[in-house]
Order: sequence, then C-alpha cells, then structure tokens
Amino acid sequence: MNPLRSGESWWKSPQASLQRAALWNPYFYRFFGSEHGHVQSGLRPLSGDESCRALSQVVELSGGQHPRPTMLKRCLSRMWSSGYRPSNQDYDSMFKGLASKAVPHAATPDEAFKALLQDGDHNPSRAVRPQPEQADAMVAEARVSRDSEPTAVTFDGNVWTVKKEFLVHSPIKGVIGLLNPVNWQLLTPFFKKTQRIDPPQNPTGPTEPWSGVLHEEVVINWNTVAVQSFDALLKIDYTVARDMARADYSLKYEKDNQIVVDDGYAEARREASQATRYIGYKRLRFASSFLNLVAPALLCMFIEQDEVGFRDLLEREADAIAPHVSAANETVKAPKK
Amino acid sequence: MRSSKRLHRSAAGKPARQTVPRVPERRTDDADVHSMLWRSYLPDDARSKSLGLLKPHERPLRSLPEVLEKNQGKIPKPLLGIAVWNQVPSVDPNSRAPAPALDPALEQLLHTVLDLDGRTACSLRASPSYDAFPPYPDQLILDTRYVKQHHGHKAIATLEICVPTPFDPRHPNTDQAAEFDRLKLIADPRTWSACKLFWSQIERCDPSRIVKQPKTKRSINARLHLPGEKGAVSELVRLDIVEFSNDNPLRAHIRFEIRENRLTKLCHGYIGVQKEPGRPGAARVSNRKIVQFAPGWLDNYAFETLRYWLQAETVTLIGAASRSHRGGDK
Repeated sequence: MNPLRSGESWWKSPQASLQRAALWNPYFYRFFGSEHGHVQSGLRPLSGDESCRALSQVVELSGGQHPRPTMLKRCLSRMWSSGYRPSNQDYDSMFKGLASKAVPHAATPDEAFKALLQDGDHNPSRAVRPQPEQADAMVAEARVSRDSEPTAVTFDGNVWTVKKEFLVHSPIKGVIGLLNPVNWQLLTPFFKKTQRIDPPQNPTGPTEPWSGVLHEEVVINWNTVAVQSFDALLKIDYTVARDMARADYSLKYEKDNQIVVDDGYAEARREASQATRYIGYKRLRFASSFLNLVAPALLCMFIEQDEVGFRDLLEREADAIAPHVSAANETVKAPKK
Repeated sequence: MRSSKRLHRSAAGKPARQTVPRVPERRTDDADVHSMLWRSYLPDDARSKSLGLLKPHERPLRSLPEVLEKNQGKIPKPLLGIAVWNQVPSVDPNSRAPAPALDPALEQLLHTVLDLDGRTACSLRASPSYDAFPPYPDQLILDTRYVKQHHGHKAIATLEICVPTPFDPRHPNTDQAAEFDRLKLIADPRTWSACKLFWSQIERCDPSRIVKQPKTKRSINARLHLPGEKGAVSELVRLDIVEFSNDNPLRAHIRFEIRENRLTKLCHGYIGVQKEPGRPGAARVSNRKIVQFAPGWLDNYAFETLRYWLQAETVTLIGAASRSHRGGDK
C-alpha cells in the first residue's frame, strides 16, 4: 500500500468531517475546560458523548474499521484526559467498543481501555515539569531517548507559535516524501488540497527539492454543522539533502484575508537507519479575535496530527513509498484575491 | 608544541624561521577609501585628528561628508551608504523638536545615495531596524542585528543580516536554490578577495612547505588590510581553518583563527550562511569576530574598527556573491 496515495480519498469522504469534528472536541476542552457557555452556539464543539457517537459513525461508515487507528486512539485518549466520562451505559460501551477498534491487539475491551489510558499517561502534550535537580547530562539523555517531546505553544504578544518534536520509526526516505508540501494533504485530515500552482516543466518526485507557490485548502469542522475553510497561497522552499529535509513556508495571502501570519517549517533529520526525527514549527495569527482565542488549541491539534499521520502512514505500513509525481505537477489556477 | 612544527625548510634542508614579510603601507585609492570609511565610524574628536591623514589637496575640506561627497565615485555604493548613514543623527520621530540642521554635503549625499531627505533619514536612523544598515533604495534587507560585547582586552561582535534570495531585485527570476548556493560561497575564504578593502592575495598554503601540519587543519595565506593611524596598513597573515562545511543545502559555515601578526594579537572568526527557517526565499548571513587588535589606534577604537570590518565585509561579500553569476555587473 502506498501511503502517498492511501489517505487522499478518505479525507474527502463524508466521515472525514465527522472525524475532524470529533478531533476538535478534546483539544477545545483540554484548553478551555468543560464550561463553554461563552462560545457562540454555532461554534460550540461536540460534547464528549456526541464525539463518541461521531467516531462510531466514522467506524461504521468505514466498514467497521477506522482507517487511521492511531488517530482514533489518540482522539479517545485525549478525550479521556480532557475530562470526558460517558454519561450513561450506552456511551460507556460505545467508548469501550471504540477503544477495542483503536487497540486491535487487545484481547478484551477492558484491556483495550487500559492501553488507551496508558497512551494518555504517555501523552506527550501533558504538562512536563522541568526537573532542575537532574544533572544536565541526564536531562539530555532523557531528551534523546524520548520518542515525542511535549508540544510547546508560546505567545510573543502578537503571534502564536507552536513547536513539536518527535521520532518516527521509519527510514528518512518515507518521511521526506510526506514532508513535501504537495503531500501534506495525505498526512492530516485538515488539508483538502495542497497543490503546487507553478509546476516545473519536468516531472519531479516527492523527494526532489523545489521552491514555488502552494495552493492549500484547509478545513476545520467545529462540530458536525459548522465548518470553516481557509483558501491560502503559501510560498514554499522545500530543501532535501541526504540525511535531512526541510519544508519552509510562509503565507502569501488567504483568499478571504482570514489569516494574518502563517509561516513555519517542517524538518526531518535522519537519527538512525530506521528512525527519523521530525521537528514542526508554526507561527499563526488570525484576523478574527475569536480564532486567535482558540488558536493555541487549534495549533496543538494541527501539529499533533502530523505525528499521528506519520505513525499511521509510516509505522503501520510496511511498503516503501513509490514515486508520486502527479500532485507536484498538476496545474491549478490561483484563487482570486 | 615544539616550535619546529612551525618552521619551513630552507633549500639547504635546514630549518628556517617562518617569517611574514612586511609590506609597505598602501597608498592607493583603496587605502584612501579605507581611511575615509573608517573615519565615519570614529567619534568626533578622533575624526578631527585623523583629518590630517588626508592627502594635501584634501586638507582644506572641513567635514567628512564633504570628503565623502568629493570621493563618492571611488567608494562602492553600499559602503558609501553606510558611511553616510553613520553621519546621520537619530531623532525620535514622535519628538516635536525641530530636526537638526545637517551639513549640506550630507543632505546631498543622502539624496544621491539613499534617496532620502534629511528629516526622514534622522527619524529612520532612530529605528532599531536601521541600526546596522541604511534603507538602501535598490536592495532589500529583511532584518539585521548587531551585538557587541567585550571580554578582557578582546572585542567581540556579531553582525547578522537577513536578505532575500535573489538578493538583487533587478533579477527576480533568478533560480532561488542556485542563488543560495552562490551565497554559501561567502563561507569560503577563497572568495573573500571580493572584499578587496580588507582582503587580497588569498591562497592556500603549500602543504609541502609545512612540516607535520595536521591534515584536518588547513591554512590560508592572505593579505589583510586594516585602517590605521597613517592610512591603511596591510599584513600577510596566516589563517587557520578550524571548521568548514558547505555540503549541506541549508547552510554553510567557517570557523577560523588568524595567527598573531602586526595588526591583530588575536582574531577568531565565524561566517555562516543559512536558509532562514520559516521564511522561504530568505537567507541569514552571520559574521562574528573576536579580536584583540595590536596596541595603537586600532585597539583604541576596537569596537568601531570591528563594526566597520564586519559591515563592510558582509555587505561586500553578499553583493559579490549575488553578482558572480552575471559576470560581475554592477
């Protein structure tokens, strides 16, 4: 199975909207708690029970199996750690049923549920207190051995910044292919389209460097009703070397001027023959004050789904990435500003 | 370390002490340009003393702006821009105080070189964005940073400049990757002769002449020109490359040491070029030096000299790298 092709169709399916809406639930509640009376009703995220039902529908519509098991597992563990408890027996059994789909190797639903909680305990986005009493060398050792660094969100008074670092247990070649901006649509459910608008004369492979302009369409489902989309052009510089690659991007403009600042980079470095370190960095500022209010949660959701995407596509799939040139060479028109 | 490692062998096979030949101070146009530019960094009292350094026919001139205006044809435009900028007083743009009266020659230079009037120049000068470089009318600088500190007798300064690639806006369709590759050449000492005010005669040391030189440590002979009390002075120096890397498509850098000589008791340098993270089409050049100048004027005005060295070297090398593929057009 070619991961560069596998995700494309699913993100455009109706159940992907349900998945996106369910994902927003734990991120919103993690950041803002369970009180959400001040949020406009149209933008109110799904409740825990509603998310549970949405995820069940996703599984049902996908033929009884979630196409992205890591995504389902992370979504459920984050729901649990953000305070969700099923309100009645039906939702309780629904949640445990989902847990057994997310952890297919578990023998019983209870075992799957335990594995889920364990995943929540190792959740890298949980607050990690610095331990000054530890010797620097020990801290350094711990950093090296950790698979995933905590997601760091900072605010410099003007722009929100998020940084995420994790280890992908896959050769760098596969990671580089997905790092190519034209393939971002395969990595996370939020990209409806990532297409180069100034294609080169000669076809290029996914691991060949390029610089130019990318047309991206991003969709956020606040719940099962309200959808927000962004139609943006990004300036891209995708650099590839033998042991590393980096995709730098910065916003040229968003069609409806909804975004003021959007820049950052995604970097992959070879750590061992079967391990690649990924570093994601993103700066964002919306024009809307409401969106700026929820920006830290949004940024976390975005960047943590990168990790989930890599794990689902590369750590679970044994096949190597075949050259994929179509997305990089298709011609599309730039949206009118 | 035994001193014999630093010796050359004479034709007779006997060790002969390696000597760096002294050269006469340069009295060329470059030396005059060097002197003029350096004086633009000095405080007023030092500058007035140094006016005596001019050639006899220049003595009647009263101010540095007049000297610069008279000699503007000899000075590379980016460096002339910095020298002019150094003369501009900074005025808080929100202040209601009247703008200071500028020397007419300075006003004229501001108009000719930077396309600015005096009042605008004074208010822009107060902005941290234009601390290191003026707003060049034909070249975009995305941001700059200049940091200095001293450590004992050593002056330490770092200049960072973030420029678009392609650097020259007259050639917007230049291939971005190729332009960055050319910019990376700044880290290669063999290209430094493009900054002829400071460097010339750059050549790799002949390995056969050096006894037991470590293979990892390559050396380069170069003539270093620095401004001085009696105009520019030059010295043949040995530059040891401590670290050099240019095979990464994202960055290149060099660390080097200049052995003690008549001009510098100590000089450690770093020049790095890297693609700016999260900013496609932008590159950052960092130039850092730790210097202890030989006693005298250079040491008395160590930070002024170092700032001049870093600014002139950086802007000249970037300009040269940008022009290199177009056959050096100006």
